[in-house]
Amino acid sequence: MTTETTQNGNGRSTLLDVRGLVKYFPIKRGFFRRTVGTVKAVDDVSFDIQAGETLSLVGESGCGKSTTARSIIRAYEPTAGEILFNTEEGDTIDLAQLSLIEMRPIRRQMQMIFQDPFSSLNPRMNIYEIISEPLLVHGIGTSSEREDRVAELLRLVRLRPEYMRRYPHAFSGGQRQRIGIARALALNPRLILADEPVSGLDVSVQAQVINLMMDLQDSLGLTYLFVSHDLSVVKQISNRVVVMYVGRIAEIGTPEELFDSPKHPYTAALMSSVPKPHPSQRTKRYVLEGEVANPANPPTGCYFHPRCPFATDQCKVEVPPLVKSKDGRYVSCHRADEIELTTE
Amino acid sequence: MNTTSQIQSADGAPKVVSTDYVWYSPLDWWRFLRRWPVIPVSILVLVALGAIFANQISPHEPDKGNLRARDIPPLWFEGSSTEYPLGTNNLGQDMLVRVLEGARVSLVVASVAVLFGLFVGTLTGMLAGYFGGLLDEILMRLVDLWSSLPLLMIAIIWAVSIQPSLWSVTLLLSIFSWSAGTRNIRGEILSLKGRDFVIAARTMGASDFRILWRHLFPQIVHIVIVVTTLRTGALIVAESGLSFLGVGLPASVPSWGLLITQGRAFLTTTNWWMSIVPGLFLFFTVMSLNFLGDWLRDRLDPRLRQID
Repeated sequence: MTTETTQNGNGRSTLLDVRGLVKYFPIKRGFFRRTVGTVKAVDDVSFDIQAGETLSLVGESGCGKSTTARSIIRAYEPTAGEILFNTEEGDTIDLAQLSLIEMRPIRRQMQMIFQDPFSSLNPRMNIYEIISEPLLVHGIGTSSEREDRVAELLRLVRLRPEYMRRYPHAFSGGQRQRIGIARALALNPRLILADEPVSGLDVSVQAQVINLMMDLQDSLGLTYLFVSHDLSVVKQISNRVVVMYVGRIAEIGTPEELFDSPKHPYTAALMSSVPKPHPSQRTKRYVLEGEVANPANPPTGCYFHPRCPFATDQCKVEVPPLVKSKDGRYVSCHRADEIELTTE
Repeated sequence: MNTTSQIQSADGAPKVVSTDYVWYSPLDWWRFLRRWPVIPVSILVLVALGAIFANQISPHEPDKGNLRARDIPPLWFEGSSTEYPLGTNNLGQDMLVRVLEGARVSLVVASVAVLFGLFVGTLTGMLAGYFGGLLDEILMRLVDLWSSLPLLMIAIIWAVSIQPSLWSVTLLLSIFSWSAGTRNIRGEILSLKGRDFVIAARTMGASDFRILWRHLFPQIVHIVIVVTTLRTGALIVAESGLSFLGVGLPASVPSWGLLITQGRAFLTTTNWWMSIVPGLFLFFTVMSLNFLGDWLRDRLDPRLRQID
């Protein structure tokens, strides 16, 4: 374990540094459950999260966004790679190497918010039991202290503490999601992994929950890893965005960079698919041909080459590395500097 | 309580509506009976009390016959006697005390077997479903093996190789009653363990024991309870079936199955009540258990709890 804290230009320190994260799921068939193949859900993913920022992971369904988040918090066992987490105490710990028991104290600093507010709360526990469970598991406080803390958390997520003894079925989707947020905040974590926290909600409620999350970030100094496929939400809230395609990173940049001057053809196609509210804002559409690659049987070379209008022979054989370009952005495309992409 | 509320009627004048009940209408009673399992619970309580206080209820001994009081039919039939409300058998033994004694035997055998089977079934089902892998494979193949064992054949071998007694039959039924529960509960756990609240518990650092006990068990407890009540009924029938075939309880222990057997020879001739009386007890008890199980299933689900 090293005790270095990397400082970067904007004065923030690195909270989490993911290096070469890989998660393969074996496909098992037949009577003897032989492994007949692997689904390469996450394949060599590297990015870092600065303390206090919101980093979004975007991409289509099945591109490994959620798997990445769940591997970081060790809900799944990563197949390979390093997950370097800078703890409150100033140590850098590789979470991928920890046993589940060694992982327990780290979990206090890292919590998760789930997509489906209906399946993420135990229907047979009341709100007090749900929100106080992390405290109970980590042996924090007496039961009256926990009750005070739950009341405080409920007020924080703008729910009435009197609702503490009710069961989840008595709440609406948005309220349930706020209960999930309160549970995630119970241990005062530094990093929140939000796995599509608003995808299951109505649009009007989405805004409410997003605003709440942003307010909480300001007041509690939280860092978010925000997994989403809703690009308009991502554009609004993130400091940086990681675009994923079939388990790999296509591009990393600020939302403005990615929306206005994408460097990866996939980013361009993705960004141009966001509906524009006004006709005069309508711009060039990059429409992709074909289907998303199968992560159990991905194409050779660049995973995107069968659908890429700019693909060359090199793209068919060589996997493009994720390189830092001159202006500090990360792109994995052989032709990033040659092709002109614009969404204007 | 005298509650009144004012409702604006169509012509604008306030209308006083009394909402207190004068008397329950037949419809209210019907609703009440539909909402609460009054009848099944009453039957089960009566049978249980009867089983406990059998000796106080009837002055007669279960296996002591009075040859002068043979073949007396139950009350309201011609030739009946108030001394023997459910009649007597061909040996002049009181049917009431024998049926209540039989209830004691049948209920004890079935409950012990069900509780054992359910405990083992729930435990193995939860472990197999939750941990998966080799443990799951071993347990489930054992369940397959178990469910393919022929109960009747084993019961016959069991009966000829050891002297059948109350406890030997209970043990036999216990051994046979766990495997169905394992399969049901494993399936349920499999579908539950991938749910987000289980992953949430894991990511907050909860132990496997805590996840199994606090998160998964409460989701399956309604299945456990429903299966318990339904299995109890099934096991009462199974025990009676074994006794009826003569491979169950010894003749000195009057279970319902034995009583039905003893009446079989007379069923078409004179003493039809010898089989019908214990048969009706069996029927109403098992039926009540089924209704109760059904009601409990609805009641224990928080989503259905508030529905009238």
